[in-house]
Amino acid sequence: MVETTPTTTTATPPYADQTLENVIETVLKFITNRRDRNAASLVCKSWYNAEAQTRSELFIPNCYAVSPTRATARFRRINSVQVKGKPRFADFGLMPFQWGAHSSPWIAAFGAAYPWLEKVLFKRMVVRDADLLAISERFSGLKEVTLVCCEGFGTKGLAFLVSNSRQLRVLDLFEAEVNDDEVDWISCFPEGETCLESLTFDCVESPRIEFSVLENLLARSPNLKKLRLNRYISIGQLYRLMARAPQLTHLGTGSFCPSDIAQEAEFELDYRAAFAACKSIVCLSGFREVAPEFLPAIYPICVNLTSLNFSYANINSEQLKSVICHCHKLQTFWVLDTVGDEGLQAVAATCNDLQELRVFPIDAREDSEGFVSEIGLLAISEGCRKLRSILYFCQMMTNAAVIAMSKNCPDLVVFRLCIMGRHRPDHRTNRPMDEGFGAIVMNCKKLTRLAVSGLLTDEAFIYIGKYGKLVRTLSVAFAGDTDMALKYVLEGCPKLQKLEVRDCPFGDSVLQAGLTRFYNMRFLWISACRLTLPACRQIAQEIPHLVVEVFTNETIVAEEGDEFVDTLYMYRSLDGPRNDAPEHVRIL
Amino acid sequence: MELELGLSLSNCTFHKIPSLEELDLIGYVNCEGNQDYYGDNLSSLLSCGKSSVNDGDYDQEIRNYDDNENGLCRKKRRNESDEVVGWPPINTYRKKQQNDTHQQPHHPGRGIGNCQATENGGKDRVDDYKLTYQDEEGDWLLAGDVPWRTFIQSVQRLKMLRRDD
Repeated sequence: MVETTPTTTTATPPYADQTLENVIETVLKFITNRRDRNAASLVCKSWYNAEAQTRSELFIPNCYAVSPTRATARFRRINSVQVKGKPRFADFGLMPFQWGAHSSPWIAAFGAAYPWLEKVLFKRMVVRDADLLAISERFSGLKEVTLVCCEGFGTKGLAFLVSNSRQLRVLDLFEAEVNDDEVDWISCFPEGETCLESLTFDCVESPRIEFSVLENLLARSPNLKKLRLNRYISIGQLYRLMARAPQLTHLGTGSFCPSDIAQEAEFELDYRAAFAACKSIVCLSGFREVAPEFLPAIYPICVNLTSLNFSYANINSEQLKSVICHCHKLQTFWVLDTVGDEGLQAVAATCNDLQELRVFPIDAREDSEGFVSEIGLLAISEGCRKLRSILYFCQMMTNAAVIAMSKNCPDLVVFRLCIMGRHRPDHRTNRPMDEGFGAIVMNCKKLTRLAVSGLLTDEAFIYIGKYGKLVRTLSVAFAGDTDMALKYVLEGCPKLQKLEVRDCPFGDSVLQAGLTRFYNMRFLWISACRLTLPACRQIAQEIPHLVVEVFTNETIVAEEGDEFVDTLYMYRSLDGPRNDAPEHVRIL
Repeated sequence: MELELGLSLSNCTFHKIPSLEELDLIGYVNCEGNQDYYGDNLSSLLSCGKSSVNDGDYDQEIRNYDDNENGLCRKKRRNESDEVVGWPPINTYRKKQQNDTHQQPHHPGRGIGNCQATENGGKDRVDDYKLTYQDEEGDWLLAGDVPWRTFIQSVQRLKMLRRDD
């Protein structure tokens, strides 16, 4: 047999290969966007290697989609990690006890592979005190720790973290459940000047902070720009802290009311002057127990504010008006519905650059009195034409207002409307809300995230499937008539990555309809619908690398005899089913 | 396949008077050991004779009220097969903040260094506080002054105040 050599030789001299890779590495270093990097890595083996060597930020959107070993084996030079665990519905109590999302194996792998790690972010994961200790001990150059919606640790863990991490610039805790271990963790920061730039502990429900220690910490943190205090800090204490840190750009005010053992002096402080001295504040939040009579103190900085979070402030429309009329530059605004439609009209009148609005209910129950309605939504749509993102809780809505918003705010990227009463129609016409949501997907051509509510028939989903070509995240609850609804969506929305469905009359045929889609999605969550265990099992068998979990929101195991599955949660995984699931979570 | 649009819900008039099941107050009183929404202070206040009605009467009151109402609109809250968990979709952290603000006294300005009150446990602090409520006319009244039925028909908000306020 004659051995033929190929006409174009595949063997190039080693040094040329290496040069090529060096060149590509050099170029790729400039690419920071992870989607661009993902694309680059698919070009060829050479680019794949070069990209793997030069990626510095590791983003793991589902901690079970890939094992820590595999991730750290591929990417060798990471200095910043972000790992997300539980799906979003965990926030609403829909996950069973101890479902998973443990940070420990990730920390162990990072400790071995990236001892130089500087930034860590965990979202919706279990982070224990021991994990915080490990983080602080393994990464001597640790600069930033951010924990979002995490649980499992307490002030003891925080104490470990801050005492060991001398280079810490950022310690941000957002909506974390922090156990009160009766440790004054603030006093555990090492002595001397700190590197602190951001300290966020507004969610730490521990009153055990020695105020003078906190004051002292600020005095020796000249770089501190962001400070978000918890509600155990009174307004008098806030005054003193602001005097220590006039360079702040982001401030969470704590309670914003006097302490209950207030001396007269606390009432006589010139709060307005204190705020006026902090000329750089652009982002204001807190107001956890707001005493509205103190609100005028913030007037001096309102004109500079780009972000204002009043979502814990129980204030009425008049109180809001007096503040918002100064806030011409506001881009992000979070508020409670206690301000009413009138308050929102005031926002619409002044905040013409508004990009993000969130209106939360003071009373999050289905039959509570609603303080905002279609009137507020319409006003916002007319005044805030640049709106990109809205989350709006209400009790009453009309199609007309939603349609108006779709036309007035064509730049909307995120539209989340929550009509709290289930199956509630347009309260003026009594018709389903199909037209409104249909208009949103039709007119808002940049829409990537949509949450629907109210009375909805399959028609709404026809619209979504037909027009929602960029939709990546869809949340559906108490909606739809037949399985066709989800089929329209699964067949019509090519970019769909995250689908969250609860309490809808959808059955097994939706699983069949999505067979070709599920592997390319980040996850699918279907709870309290009409899926049977055999159908779920069939999906698990038909699609390799798909992890299909079945559970209830308690510690009851889904049984063969159950008519319907309580919750189906499925996602793709390169490394097969996880081995840390509790007994009551079945992996099919 | 059964369709469950629940259209009847949308046609309900939504009563201004909060229904009994939805007043967590009632559920708490009837459900032993439930720590979901209230700390020890409120539970002992509720049971320490502020009202002349004892637990047995609470049950009867609820049944009477229930029978008189159109049951379609209301959802049972606790340990019932059709309770709606996680709706409306407010995350548990935020919900807790709202509950804590309304029900539990907190102490801004107090840390270990500044603490003057005793930390002797719940029982001692109960006497330091009184329970007030806002009725439908916006007036703040002392709980325990009016009959139970009047109270539940008119209560809109609850507030705990220190006894000397």
